[in-house]
Amino acid sequence: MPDIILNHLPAIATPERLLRLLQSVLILTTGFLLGRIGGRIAARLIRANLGDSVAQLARRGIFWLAGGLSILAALDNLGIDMRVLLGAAGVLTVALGFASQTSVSNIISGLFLMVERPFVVGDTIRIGDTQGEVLSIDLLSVKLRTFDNLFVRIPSEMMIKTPLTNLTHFPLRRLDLQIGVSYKEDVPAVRKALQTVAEHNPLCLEDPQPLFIFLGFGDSALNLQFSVWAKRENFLELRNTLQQEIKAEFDRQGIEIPFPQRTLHFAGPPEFPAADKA
Amino acid sequence: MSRTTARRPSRRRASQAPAGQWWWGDFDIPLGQSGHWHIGPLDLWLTHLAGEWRIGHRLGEEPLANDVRLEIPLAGPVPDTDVIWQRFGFRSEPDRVTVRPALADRPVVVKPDMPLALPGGEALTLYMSSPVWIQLWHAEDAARPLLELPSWRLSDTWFGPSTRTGELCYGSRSRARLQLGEVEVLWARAITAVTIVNRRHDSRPLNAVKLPIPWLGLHVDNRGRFWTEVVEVEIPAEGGTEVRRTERPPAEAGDAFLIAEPRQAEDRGRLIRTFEALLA
Repeated sequence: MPDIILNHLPAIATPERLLRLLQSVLILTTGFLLGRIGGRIAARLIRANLGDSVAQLARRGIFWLAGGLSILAALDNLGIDMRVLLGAAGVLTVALGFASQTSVSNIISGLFLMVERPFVVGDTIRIGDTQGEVLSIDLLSVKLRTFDNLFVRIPSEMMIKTPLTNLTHFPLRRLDLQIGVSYKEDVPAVRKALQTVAEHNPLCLEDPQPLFIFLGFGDSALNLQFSVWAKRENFLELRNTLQQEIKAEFDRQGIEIPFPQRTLHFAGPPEFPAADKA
Repeated sequence: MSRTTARRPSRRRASQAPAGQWWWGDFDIPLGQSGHWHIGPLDLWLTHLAGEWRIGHRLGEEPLANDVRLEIPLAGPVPDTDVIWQRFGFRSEPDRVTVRPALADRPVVVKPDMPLALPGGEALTLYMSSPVWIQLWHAEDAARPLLELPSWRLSDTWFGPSTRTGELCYGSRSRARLQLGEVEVLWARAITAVTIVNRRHDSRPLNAVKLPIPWLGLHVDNRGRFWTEVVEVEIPAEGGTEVRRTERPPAEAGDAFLIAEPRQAEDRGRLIRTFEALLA
């Protein structure tokens, strides 16, 4: 067997063919090298404005585009008829397209997300019932870590179609407290007590000023809303400390937060069954 | 403007400190001993143990408390209730602690006691005070203080056109006054004068003034009162704001000398942008 190969080798490996092979290897090497360099440059330029995810996508895209073109050029240099390959690729693309509709939809949604940037890695978002910290923004999906340390993968298509709340987009956050006080309480005095508590809590912003709203006359209590602002990093601590301080101040001033109440009106004097004589 | 070098706190033992005034400087606390500083609303304790310092602090209820007491070394035990303690370990713990005053680490927003407007073509000077910060240094060549505490914890506040853009500042409950005599002169507060000139024809409301504290230096006069440089704000006729900082505190500060450099280096562009949003 080796003798057969050695005997026919001079006919196959002509100088012209060897030269073409060498050229094709050179084309491939140059193409991939240029793709790598171009990808890195593009990633560096894009990263500052569009973030890491888009930069990585651009880097890989440019690399494989240059690599793909260089493969075609190398094959063409070797004398292979590209029309057959392109025809087969077209048929394959149609078949893959039907099979991967969902994936393609996710990829396109992922591209829109990367360009639109409603959130970035590190933000806390809420989508539906899921709330967590964004770990990564990939082409097909977004990965979250919930506050109880669960890993959640959300398809990009769902991120585009569903209303999404970014809890950490703005620097400030407002805490709305719904407070019910007894009907016997003096509303201006309650308002003053709440404002005093807010003034003494250093996490509660002086400006924007706390907001007091008399919501209305509830079934069991006077319904009030007291809204205060805080730096978003202090939101949770303010929520805890402020409510405790309000409770303490209400206790100190004797302001009652009533339990749900019902008043019964009897149509006539109540009748009690006669007691059994022992 | 030329910059004068901040004068380093002099080496002074507690027995040499005039009572009620000089609570800052170098203090020697031998091993096993403690020191106590009562500076307005703030109580500070430092205990020197083998290989460590323990530093405790407690804030009082009254922001304008003005008494100053030093007890170094502390005769009695350190308190253990309502005090927040921190421990610092050293390979070889120093005997000497340097206590230095500093200004706030964020701008401070101060409001006039009543809404105020500056008519066109007029000028005024507003005087305001802000609490100083207390820094504890363990070594002369340390890059940063070991610990830094405000003498009074101011409330957070937001200064900006909306809740989306602006800057987090401190809100001062003490009010901006037109007369220096009406400003509380306290051993743990620094007085800042802001001169505003309105060259426009229309009145300019002055609902709040944002003191650019991190860009100001801290000075002290021979009575132990703290001052900053004067901030001069000019509202030109064509609009905008021009802001300057003087080299020295106001004339009322007398021979005050610089004791702490500004926290923020003077970056001209950033300074103007910050100062542009000085008035609300």
